[in-house]
Parts: sequence; C-alpha cells; structure tokens
Amino acid sequence: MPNASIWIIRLSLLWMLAGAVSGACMHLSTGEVSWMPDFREVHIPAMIFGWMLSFTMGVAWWIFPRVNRNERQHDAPAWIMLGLFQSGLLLLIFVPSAKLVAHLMLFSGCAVIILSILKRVKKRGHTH
Amino acid sequence: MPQVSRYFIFSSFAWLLLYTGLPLVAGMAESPALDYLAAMSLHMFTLGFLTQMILGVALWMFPRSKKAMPRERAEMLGVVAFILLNSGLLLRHAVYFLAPGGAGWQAIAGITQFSALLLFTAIIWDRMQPLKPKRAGAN
Repeated sequence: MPNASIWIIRLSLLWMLAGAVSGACMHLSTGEVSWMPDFREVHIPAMIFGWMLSFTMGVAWWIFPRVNRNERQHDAPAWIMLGLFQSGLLLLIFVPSAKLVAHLMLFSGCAVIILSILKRVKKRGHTH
Repeated sequence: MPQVSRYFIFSSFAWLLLYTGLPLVAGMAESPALDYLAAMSLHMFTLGFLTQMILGVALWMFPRSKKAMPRERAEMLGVVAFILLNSGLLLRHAVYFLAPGGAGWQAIAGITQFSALLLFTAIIWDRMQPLKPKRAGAN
C-alpha cells in the first residue's frame, strides 16, 4: 500500500474515533458551560470529511490501477490532498470565522485527488 | 470472505432497507413517525449502512501482514465490534421510544459505538504496510 494511502487511512480512523467521541459528548453537554465547544460542529465534519471521505480517497488511491508502473513513486497528489483535507478540517472545526477558506481547502483536496484518479478509471483490458 | 465481513455487510443491507423503507411507512402515518425519522434516519444511513459496509469490506480486502494481529483473534474482536456497533445503534432507537430525551442513554449508545470503532481501528491498523521496494532487474 502506498505510504500516502497509509497516512490518509490511519488519519481517517483517528477522525472516526474523534467523531464518535464528539457524538457521545454532544448528548452529555447541556450547553450551559460557555467554554465547551459545540460538539455538533466537530461531530459532523469529523465523520463526513475526516472519516468517510478521507477513507474512501485513501483506499481509491491505493486500489485504482496505475497507468504506468513508475507512477507508484509519484504520490504527490495524494500528499497534497492529505495536507489540504487535514488543514481544512482543523480550520473548519477550530476557526469558525475561516469557514469559507476551510471549505475551499476541502474542495481543492477533493479536486486534486479526483483529477489525478480520473485517468486511472479504465475499461477492462485497456492498455495505455 | 471472512465471516465477520459477511455479518457487517448483511447488517449494512438491513439498515439500508430500514432507512429507505421507513419513509414509506411514515408517509402513511402521522407526525410522530416523521419526527422519529428526522431524528434517527441520518445514523441509520451513515453508521448503519455506510460505515458498516466500509468496515466489512475493509476487514475482507485489506492485505494481511506479519505485523497484524492473528486472524482468529482479529475475527473474534471483529464480531465483538459488530455486536457493539449494532447494539449501540439499536439502543439509540430504543431510547427514542422508551426514554425520550434520555441524554445519558444516548451517550451510552455513543460510547458503545465508539468502543466498536476503536476495536475496528485496532484490528485494521497494522494491516496497512508500505510497499516493498522492487528488486533490481525485476519486471
């Protein structure tokens, strides 16, 4: 498995756990403690972007067929996606005023990985 | 396909049928059913269907490595994770009817689900290993 996929998938597992904890905390927090974050604002992005989307992207990067053999060494798009996704998520959760930038980063992360995987979606028996 | 993957995948199909079937029932019923759907359907889909499908397929497809935990132990822990995840989901639904607004019970359901996901993480963590470098001259 490429290193980039390992990192993306392992981080997605950590986000999944963070999402589950924040989901449980959501029910316990009464909203009376002012310094406590709104756990819904953590739970939903952590589960949607951090867990499901990241995991899917990590597996897709690993499992889709490579166009040529040397491509294995070029994991740059996956690393870029990882950086954009993680920074975007952290911004989205911890800096509510930067929501637009955060969403732009998440969108760019998706765009980078989709564009580089597109050419790997091939018909059976197709050769480059 | 390991037995535990089959459990996860069958269960994910069942939750998907519930998720897609309940609105049909709710369409014929009064507002309480609609309230129930609004509150619960998201978890039926995301946790019941999507997450369980991902867990089942991952436990089946991810490569086994020497570092990963032994197959029998992984299978046994996987079954425990399956039971915990589905108990958490069912508890969440039971609480809606039996103890509405019971935040404590909801939190217990959340912790049960968290434990399941933690077990899954422990099983799968070491099954991701870097690519071995190619031998010189190999095609």
